[in-house]
Amino acid sequence: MDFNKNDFTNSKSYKLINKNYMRVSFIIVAILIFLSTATYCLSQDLKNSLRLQIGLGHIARQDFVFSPFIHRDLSPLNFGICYQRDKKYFQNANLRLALLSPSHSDIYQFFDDNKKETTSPHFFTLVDLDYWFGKSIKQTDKVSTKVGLSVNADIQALNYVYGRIGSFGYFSSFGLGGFVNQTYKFNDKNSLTAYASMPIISWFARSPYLVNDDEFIENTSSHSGVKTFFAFIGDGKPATLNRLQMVDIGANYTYHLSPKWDIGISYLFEFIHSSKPRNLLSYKNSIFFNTNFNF
Amino acid sequence: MLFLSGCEKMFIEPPKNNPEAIFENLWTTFNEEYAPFEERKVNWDSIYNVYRPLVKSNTTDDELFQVLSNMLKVFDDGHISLTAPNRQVFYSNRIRREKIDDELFNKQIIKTYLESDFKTGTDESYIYGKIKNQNVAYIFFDYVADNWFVLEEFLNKYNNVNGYIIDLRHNQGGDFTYCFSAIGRLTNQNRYVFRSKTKNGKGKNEYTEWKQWYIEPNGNFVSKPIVLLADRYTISAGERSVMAFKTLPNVTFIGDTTNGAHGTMIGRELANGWYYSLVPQKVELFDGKSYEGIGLAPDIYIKNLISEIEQGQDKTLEYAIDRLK
Repeated sequence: MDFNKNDFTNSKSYKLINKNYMRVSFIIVAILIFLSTATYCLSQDLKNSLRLQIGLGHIARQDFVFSPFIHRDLSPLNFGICYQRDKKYFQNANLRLALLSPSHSDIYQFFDDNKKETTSPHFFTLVDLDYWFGKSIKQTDKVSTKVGLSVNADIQALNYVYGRIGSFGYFSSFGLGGFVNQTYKFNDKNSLTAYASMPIISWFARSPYLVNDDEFIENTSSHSGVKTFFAFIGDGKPATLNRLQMVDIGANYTYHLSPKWDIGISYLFEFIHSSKPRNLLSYKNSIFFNTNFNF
Repeated sequence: MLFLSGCEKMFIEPPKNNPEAIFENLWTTFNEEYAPFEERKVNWDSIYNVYRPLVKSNTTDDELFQVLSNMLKVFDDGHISLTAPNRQVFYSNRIRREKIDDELFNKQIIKTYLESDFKTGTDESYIYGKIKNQNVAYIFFDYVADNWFVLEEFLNKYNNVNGYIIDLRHNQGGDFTYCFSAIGRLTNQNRYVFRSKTKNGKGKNEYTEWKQWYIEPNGNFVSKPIVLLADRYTISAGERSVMAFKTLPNVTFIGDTTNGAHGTMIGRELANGWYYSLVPQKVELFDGKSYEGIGLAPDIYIKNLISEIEQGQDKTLEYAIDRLK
């Protein structure tokens, strides 16, 4: 994530973008992995499960700050780790990372000062961290329904590439909302869980109207990725459903191999819409292959 | 499937991929997002009337590229470019496009003026050293980014010289805040450099508030004489760096007028995959004037001659050395 760049006038600047971009991506992912691991460690108890996910993700995104076109990509670089504890209360901590290279046109070659260059797709790093805390409201042999509060952090580093130049963009939202989760047990081996979560109120920060302005430049002027990251977030505003609409809807099919191990497949639909400062519509469909360890 | 079809319908229809729609999209985007029309004396509505009739539904890619290039040529803006498959990038700025006087600056010749222990950054992002047989230190910056942090090392290493030559000729720009952070030792007070504002709506007068930018003291103050060099290829953040040096009383600016493209630059894309760039920002120097499309004029105008360069001489650099020795 280049949280450090504003005025891109040449390819050397663009290389700098990538360098900072990767550095801050690493920091953020490391922080989130640390948080999820800490959650895991603090909750050593029965009825816990740890799920690792890897799968395909498809994004379609139209963000008028950067382009009026719809950018799409199908990427195998989708990863998730989920810790779940189901005892008196139900807790779920989920970290997901997706790396996508969307574009609306084909790659091609061009010449800049007689040097052959090649265009690149845009590059998005999407990080989601969700935490649910709730309890069961219905429990039968076949069906279990849980509801509760959800906290979500959604951080997106958006590296838009326009041939010879690039621009950095960001989207971050820290929301508080609710979730519903229902599990249906077909038999001892097979179960299906469907869920939905939606933030009601969020702290929301996005790139300015035309990619970068003085406030953006000032935020990057520390030349420290971490300071810039928090400066961007600090420039955010509270948002309710009239300004930001986000929803996650998913389903997990689980096959119980043994008391300790499950495997499965899951589907996740993530939706984002915001109209300020310019219209953004993004939806992402992911299919994950899961391995669960129960302890 | 319901999610997918429902979401697809929520997208705002993007511009269509045909010559007329592409022309309209580019013209409208400039109309709504480009800032320095007045500074560049461009009447965009009249430009539309000239060029729009030249694009028809059967216009070829070659013809469309030519029409768009000719239309963008009127800006003569070093930040405006058009990129398309298997072609040279088109630059709106004539100096940059036609490489006018490009050969009057030569880094290999500069190195011959330096003592043999001169240092260079990766890809010659900077070059610094002591001038042979003179008590003068020299540093060149190719662009404005973290390469500027070497300035501290440079000032420490050559703390007993008569003065410094800071060479921003052919500086390609980048992020001016690196320069502003790096030159804190060269000022003993806050100095107002420029103000800028960026478009934040489609209307002609929809801008953010003006933001004033300053350089601030940082570290042991250095007050030695400085000669700043720039030329017609000093552009963008390179020019904003020149603006910062112009606030310092001990700086003499020598060389040629800068390119005159100061505002921040953004990229845009067209339905056929072509890319272009534009400027959504206005900039005014500390004197309250805009030099967009004009450039920052030197205190002392000197331009190398090709005959001198062919003989391995950089007369602009020699003049700077004479000022400081």
